[in-house]
Amino acid sequence: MIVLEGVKKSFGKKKILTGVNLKINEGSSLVIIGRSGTGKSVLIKCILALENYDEGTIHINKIENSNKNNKTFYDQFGMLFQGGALFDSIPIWENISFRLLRGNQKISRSDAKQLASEKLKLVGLNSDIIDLYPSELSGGMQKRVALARAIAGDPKVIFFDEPTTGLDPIMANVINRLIREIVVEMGVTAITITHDINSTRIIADDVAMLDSGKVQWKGEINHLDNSGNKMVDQFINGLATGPISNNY
Amino acid sequence: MIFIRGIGKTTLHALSGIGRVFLFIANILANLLTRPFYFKELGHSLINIGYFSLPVVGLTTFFTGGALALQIFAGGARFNAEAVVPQIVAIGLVRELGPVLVGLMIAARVTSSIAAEIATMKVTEQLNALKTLSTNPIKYLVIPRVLAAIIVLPILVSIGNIIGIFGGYIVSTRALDFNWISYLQSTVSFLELSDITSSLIKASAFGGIASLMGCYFGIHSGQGARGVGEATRSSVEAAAIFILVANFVLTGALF
Ligand SMILES: Nc1ncnc2c1ncn2[C@@H]1O[C@H](COP(=O)(O)OP(=O)(O)OP(=O)(O)O)[C@@H](O)[C@H]1O
Ligand SMILES: [Mg+2]
Repeated sequence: MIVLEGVKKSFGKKKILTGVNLKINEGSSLVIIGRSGTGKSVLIKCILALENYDEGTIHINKIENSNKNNKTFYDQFGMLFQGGALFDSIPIWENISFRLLRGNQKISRSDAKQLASEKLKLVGLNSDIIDLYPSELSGGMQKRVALARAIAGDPKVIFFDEPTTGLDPIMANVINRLIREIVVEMGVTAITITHDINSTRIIADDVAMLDSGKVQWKGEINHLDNSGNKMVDQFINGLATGPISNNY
Repeated sequence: MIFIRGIGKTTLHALSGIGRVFLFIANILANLLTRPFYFKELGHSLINIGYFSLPVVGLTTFFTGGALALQIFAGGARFNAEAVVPQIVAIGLVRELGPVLVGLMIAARVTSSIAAEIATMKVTEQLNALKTLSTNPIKYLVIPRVLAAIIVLPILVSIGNIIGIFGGYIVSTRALDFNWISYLQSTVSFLELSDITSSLIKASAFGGIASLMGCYFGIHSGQGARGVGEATRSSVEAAAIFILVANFVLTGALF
């Protein structure tokens, strides 16, 4: 279980998070929605201790995440970065099996290559690209390779920062279903950021809406359409006017 | 007043920068002896920093050795001491110009590329990605590069010294009518072991400085293409200046 209490984060004078409270149950799928620039990416980087936060606490299975001396902290996580963040100096297959080529979970290079091509198939890519370098792929392909890297090694908690942006609608659907499948079949805890309401409906057990630095609404997916929250209504219907601030 | 404030601000900035560099070094030392070790990355760095720098090092020292011979000949002629060319070329190169010139060329060639590479990785979140894949960027990126430079620079400088002396030899025997046997004899019999050890110690230190600055400015790069550019420029500036300062300090210490 991941528990955030009163998390605040500013960059200089700019307040991004102003007191986020959030609980994520083990084995559930949470989708975080919110307008561009509200701090969704910053929020999950705080959870992963990639950004320092100014106030509040974040506990993962009762252990505070700022305890950086814990060498195995990241073994439990997978993360798909919004920009992919593939290592451009190594080929696709080494990117995907990066964690498995070194460290505690080390496997042989031939097994790692095998695993890379299996994960590639899951994200709808042909395994004949495994020896290429990231820069030789299209943007959407890179994103899917990054997704394959995030799920390789079967982490218990996976963060997906906008997994379907830049993908065509058919491929987006494949990825949404893949994420859902990982949660249901492998009991993974998934935290997904998306702007896409359609994706949200497929992926989510729970939905949290972030705005003005706080979680404005959190509830089960089947309450999304009758949340009683004006911000959520505005967001899911894409209305230009409403309570959501326009300052992003 | 504004002028003084400016100086104060710059000084404070520089001092806090030096403090951060020391923290960075402490962080490297804390990670140096604990597993995992990335030997493959170390091997890559040895080849990148050592082997691929050979052409630059060879050309730099060859022409410097040649020019040095001409200058010493011209200077020596003013008090009938032309005969000292082999000795001065040897000592000037081994004790001073070899390590300094190779160090500066490495700052230009290696520091800049390390800084740009790591800064780009930071800007594109590859450093964060490394962390989430349970890999410490200090261990995976920084330590192999710094160690490689410390190990390989003495070899590069030794080769540079030999090529530089050879440059002086070519000029002296072809253009200045030196006898080739006596030139080589004077060089070999004149050099002492302490000249060579001082050259190698300097080389290691300069290698450490060059790669450390590349890594430091890369890891602390600002955002965007501008951040990468700034990191690269600062890294080369800092490496060159620290190499020259260290050269002065080490020359005093190893005198
Ligand atoms: N390193 C940083 N330095 C300064 N400001 C930052 C930094 N990272 C993020 N910000 C600011 O924090 C705010 C939130 O950024 P974040 O990337 O979390 O937005 P987001 O909700 O993920 O948006 P999007 O949906 O467009 O990805 C933005 O206004 C951004 O300018
Ligand atoms: Mg984002």
